[in-house]
Amino acid sequence: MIDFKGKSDKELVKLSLLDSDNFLFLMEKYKEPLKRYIWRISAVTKEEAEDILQEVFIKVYRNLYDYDGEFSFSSWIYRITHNETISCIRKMKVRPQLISVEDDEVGAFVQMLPGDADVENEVKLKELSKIVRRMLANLSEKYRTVLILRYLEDKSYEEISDILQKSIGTVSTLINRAKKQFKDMAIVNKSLL
Amino acid sequence: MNNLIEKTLNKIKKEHIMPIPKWQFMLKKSFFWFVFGLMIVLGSLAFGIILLQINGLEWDVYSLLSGSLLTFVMTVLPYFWFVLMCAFLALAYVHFRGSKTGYKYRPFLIVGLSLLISIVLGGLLYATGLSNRVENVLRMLPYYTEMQNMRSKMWMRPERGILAGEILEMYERDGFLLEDLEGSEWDIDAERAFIRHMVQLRVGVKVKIIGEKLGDANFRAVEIRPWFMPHRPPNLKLFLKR
Repeated sequence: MIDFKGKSDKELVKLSLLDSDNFLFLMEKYKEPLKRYIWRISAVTKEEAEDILQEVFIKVYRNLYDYDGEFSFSSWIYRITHNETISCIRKMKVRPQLISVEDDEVGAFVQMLPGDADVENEVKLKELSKIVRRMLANLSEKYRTVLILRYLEDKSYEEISDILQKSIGTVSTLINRAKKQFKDMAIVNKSLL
Repeated sequence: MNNLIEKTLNKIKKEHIMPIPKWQFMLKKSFFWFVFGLMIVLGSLAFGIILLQINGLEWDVYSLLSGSLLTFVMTVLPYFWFVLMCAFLALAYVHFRGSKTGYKYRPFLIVGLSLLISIVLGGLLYATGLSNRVENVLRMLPYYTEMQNMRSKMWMRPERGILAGEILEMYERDGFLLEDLEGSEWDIDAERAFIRHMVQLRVGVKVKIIGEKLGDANFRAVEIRPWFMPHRPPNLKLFLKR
């Protein structure tokens, strides 16, 4: 019996190429983070997110030989997920109204807000989360994506660069601009905070 | 097993979905490098012809052809090939940038490296005479010849002692009848003219003449040059011996 849990992504790719059933382990590993990522950047329904994710997995399986280890498998699969999700929401012609972020995940965004936001206060935190979600939804797609990747997915600049296929310099500029736009938006909505 | 994962595995099996074979990705990759290489080679060729044309310029008579050195340079620079070289380099850049890892490299680095390869390769193409061969082939194209003729129109200044055109008739004594680039006919006295090698004085040949206007249709030639100055590549052997 092979211990799949101890295998690296590269090894799991090789095993999936030998037998499609082994692809199960890669899907199991990435299902939850990718589904969360799809929700976060698109705010689609649970069913729509699962449909997108199924398309992503099929695409990944078909292109397994194209993965040549030039960057991490995680970045590669996130790149495919990102492109597929953006393509889907463009086809659906919908703009997210509220971004799916859990209350306990908004800490990094709350810190960007002006004033002393009380994150210890549960009621206040819930209100802040809702405002943060709305403000994220109002950001342009490119700014929203980099902030989500950096502060919610906890990706490094290099990983974001590989996922979005932009140079590290461009990623850094995008993050700075996105933070500035987020802060400016917070100042405009100060009465709500 | 999770519903989504199960559904996906079932779909893979039911629809006989298979990973795209490795050779297809390798073919795509090879095609990518082929197109990129082609752009660089074409850019190099353009640079080789730029060198050829700059070397072929008649610097010794620039004062006759133009008012000043600057006007001469601005008039005769091979703009077409400069534009073509830039276009190939831009295409190479766009192509490389669109590759799987192209985003990792700075635009300055991609363009700089492509330019450097084009300059080195172009220099080699020029030095080995390949650029000259390519240009000889291009001269067979009517549009290209027309474009080159525009530069030759600088030679239409008989009052300043320069004239160019096609030989219509050879005289028994040293001289010939020339039709200039504007269609006028000239009796050329070539008795004491220095005839450059590569010049074959016969009907149908185009030549450039330096001399003196004697009358409305008479011109005394001091020097007769070929329509295209011959290619003089640098002596590579001497260069390598140093």
